[in-house]
Amino acid sequence: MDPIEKPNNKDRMFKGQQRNEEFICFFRRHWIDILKELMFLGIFILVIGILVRQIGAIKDILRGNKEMKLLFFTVFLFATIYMHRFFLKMLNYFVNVGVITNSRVIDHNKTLFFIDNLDSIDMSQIQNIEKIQEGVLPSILRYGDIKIFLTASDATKTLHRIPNAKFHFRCLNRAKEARRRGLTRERRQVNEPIIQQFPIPIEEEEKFETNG
Amino acid sequence: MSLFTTLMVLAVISSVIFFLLTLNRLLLYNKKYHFPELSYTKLFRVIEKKHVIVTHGLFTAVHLVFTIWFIWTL
Repeated sequence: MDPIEKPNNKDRMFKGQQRNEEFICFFRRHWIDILKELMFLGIFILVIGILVRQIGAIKDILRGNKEMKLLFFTVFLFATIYMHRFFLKMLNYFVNVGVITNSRVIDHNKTLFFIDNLDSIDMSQIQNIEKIQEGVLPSILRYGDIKIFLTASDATKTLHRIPNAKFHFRCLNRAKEARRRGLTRERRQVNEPIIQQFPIPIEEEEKFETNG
Repeated sequence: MSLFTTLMVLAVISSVIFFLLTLNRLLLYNKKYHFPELSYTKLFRVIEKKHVIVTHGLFTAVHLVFTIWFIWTL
């Protein structure tokens, strides 16, 4: 067995991870994305609480009254749909992630049921990274957008509302630099295969230098 | 069984089926993706997927029990 053989990372952290790909970190959107939903849930629970306390009166109204029964059923149905929609949105928040590895950035725009979009950007294709953190809330809650400029075209990719934007910005920059250095090293090795195969011993190299 | 009762039962059965479908989709997702959860990746540094799905199950169960009780006592 080759002693410097790299570990097999295939599908280790996520489906689609490459054999030599090292996972660095992943991120979700900031909770500000679902703040509205959480506030509505608070109101929903309050209303349901009030209705449950008045359940005796509601039953008295419903007995023998078809129209009111229909109205109650409609409200019941909407409340059920709202409850499931809320939990689905919460779970969608958890499955919608971005992944940073040593070779690429993956924006996985996914929901549990109907959306599964993958956008993968090679680190070597990244020319510049920009962190945008403007406004009162982003400054206080430390979230922001990260804009990635690509080398091959004028295209840009923006990752919206990333929590702890500064950390992820640094993380991306480091991964990008490491990838660039790795590729440069690889190219150098490809261009100098003979030197690699027959390296000159240090003593002889010194002799060459002293002899001119 | 009256139309009202039938509709209520249908709604609650659909609700349970939807929860089971969601659970199934989440389990499938968890099979493919196993990211290491750290405090900064959790919602409010505490909440994970499992907390959400357990709460969802709890809400669905309460919803089911409440509806059965409501129909029974009406």
